[in-house]
Amino acid sequence: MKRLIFLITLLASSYTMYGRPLGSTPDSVKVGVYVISVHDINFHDKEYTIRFWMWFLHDNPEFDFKTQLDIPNAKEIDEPEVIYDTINGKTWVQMKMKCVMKENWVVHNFPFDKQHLRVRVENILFDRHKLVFKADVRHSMFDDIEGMDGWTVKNFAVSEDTTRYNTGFGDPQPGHDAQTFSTFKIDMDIERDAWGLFMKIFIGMYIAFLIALVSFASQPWELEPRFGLPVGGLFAAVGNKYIIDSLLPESPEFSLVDTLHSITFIGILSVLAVSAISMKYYNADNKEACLRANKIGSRIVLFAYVIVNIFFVATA
Amino acid sequence: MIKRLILGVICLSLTFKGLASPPDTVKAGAYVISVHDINFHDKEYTIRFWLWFLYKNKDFDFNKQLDVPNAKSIESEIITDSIEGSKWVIMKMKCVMKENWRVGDFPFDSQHLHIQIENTLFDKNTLVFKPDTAGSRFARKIAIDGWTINNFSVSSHNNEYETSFGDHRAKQQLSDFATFDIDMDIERDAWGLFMKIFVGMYIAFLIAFISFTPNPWELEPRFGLPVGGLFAAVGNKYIIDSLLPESSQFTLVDSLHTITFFAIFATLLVSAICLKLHDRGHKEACIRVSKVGSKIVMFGYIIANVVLIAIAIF
Repeated sequence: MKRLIFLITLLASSYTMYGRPLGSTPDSVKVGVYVISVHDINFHDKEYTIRFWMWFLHDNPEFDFKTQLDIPNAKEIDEPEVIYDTINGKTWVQMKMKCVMKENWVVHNFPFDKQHLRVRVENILFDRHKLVFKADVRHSMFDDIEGMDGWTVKNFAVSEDTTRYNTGFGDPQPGHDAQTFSTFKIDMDIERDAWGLFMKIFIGMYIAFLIALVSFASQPWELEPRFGLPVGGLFAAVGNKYIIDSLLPESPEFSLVDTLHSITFIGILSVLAVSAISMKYYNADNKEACLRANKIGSRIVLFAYVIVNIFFVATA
Repeated sequence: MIKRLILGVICLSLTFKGLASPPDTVKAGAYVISVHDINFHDKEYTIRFWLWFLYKNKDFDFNKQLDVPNAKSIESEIITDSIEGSKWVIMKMKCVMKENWRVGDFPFDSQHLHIQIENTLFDKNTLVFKPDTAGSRFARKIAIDGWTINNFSVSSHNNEYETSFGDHRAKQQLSDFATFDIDMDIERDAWGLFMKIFVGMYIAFLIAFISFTPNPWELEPRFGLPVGGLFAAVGNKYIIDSLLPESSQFTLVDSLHTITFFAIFATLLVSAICLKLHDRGHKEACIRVSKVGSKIVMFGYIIANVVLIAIAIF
């Protein structure tokens, strides 16, 4: 957008061909943040809510962060509460912000996932030739007590950067077909102790597989349990998968959740296949081969299922 | 005398009409920040973008006169200034857009997004848009997750309304407004999603198919397994259907599930025929029918799946 700085700069006469005043330096704005809380983490809707205090220290009376502040990666920004003051002759602005942030969650390893949250703050009016942010690294911090439930925040950091927009936002002047704005960034990594969640979401699936596996306990010629139990297990596994899917965003990526459920489906299918093969031998009056196939098959299925599960969970 | 006066007025008005000034040109451009909350079921998505207008006519006030006819809701913030004698209006827009998703080939679908912007007050005789094609872009890094944007463009057209909106002076029931249009195609790499949503269905079919392994006269597995598979396939279908909009169109999701239902039915049919033959004492024929039937079912199922998926992709 933006970017009326070019208009303002045009009004003056001492300009270079790039619209920057000769000899002038951009005004520095010291900016810091205190993150009160990150909550309403919603994987399915690809969003979370963040509440934070933000402060700006500057000399330029043209800067009005109440109306000029933008967070490009926010879905919604609530009207901020603003406190104005002066300190050592500088304007001191404190704003209490609440934003619903857009987030492309990395769910490949869910629930062993680690997420990186980033909030980008810009001034919509003044580009980097007029305004540069200087991050108040020392005083910026995260509320360790209220900050986040169920997650641990690591690598909290604030920094300054620039963002280039390959458009002039309608500015017809030659050479104004791209603009660069100073950006204040809030970054943090979040992770959780996932084993409780893992057990919670996969217990149904593992019980479903065990129910299917119990069918090996009966003789191969006892058709009712040999085929009824795995089918019951399949229903439970399918139901479990779609309950978990409702928590996660729609994604073309094949995640750990998909992998473990697919392994379970194939495991149940293998249980049925072993039963069918064993029965085939039994029907061919080869009872010994039937029992042997059943014994070996059941061990292979169980062993392979455990190994494959451990491998994928360990990889995640 | 009165007749002459009327004639004079008519001539004067005709002269004015002939000399009527051309419509004012408004240069319009857009920078798409983000497309998100894509919701197939509710037929909508949210788009956030910067929109700018450059024009000279002081009567134009896009803060009050802007309309996006195909939006369900519109939120905007505005900044106004002037540049080179023109008024420069920059607006930050957030619109929840109505979209008739084409889900016939879901998940191998590609979608076309169209945002149409109009001035509610001035028709094409007063206002025409000139698209800022060079300056209009989308934010490549953050615009849209899980999809790729292709063929992004801005253009200008006319939108005809077959009404004069209550203007009784109008000679015909027609109003024509200039539009500024933002268009883009979006598509995705769908194989992961395909596997995710259809794995349950294919496993359901395989479980039904396993019923061919026992002898045709072993009723429990021959009929129990396909019925179990059928339940799983039906469950899978209605879970996927909850993601998609209600539509009278027969989609790829419907086709593949229908084929699975038919294949499971065919499995049961073969078992029933075999049982009939067995009950009549034709054991050899019973086993032969089971063998041939199982091959036909499997072969037919694979061929039908491959053909339908290939049609959806290509």
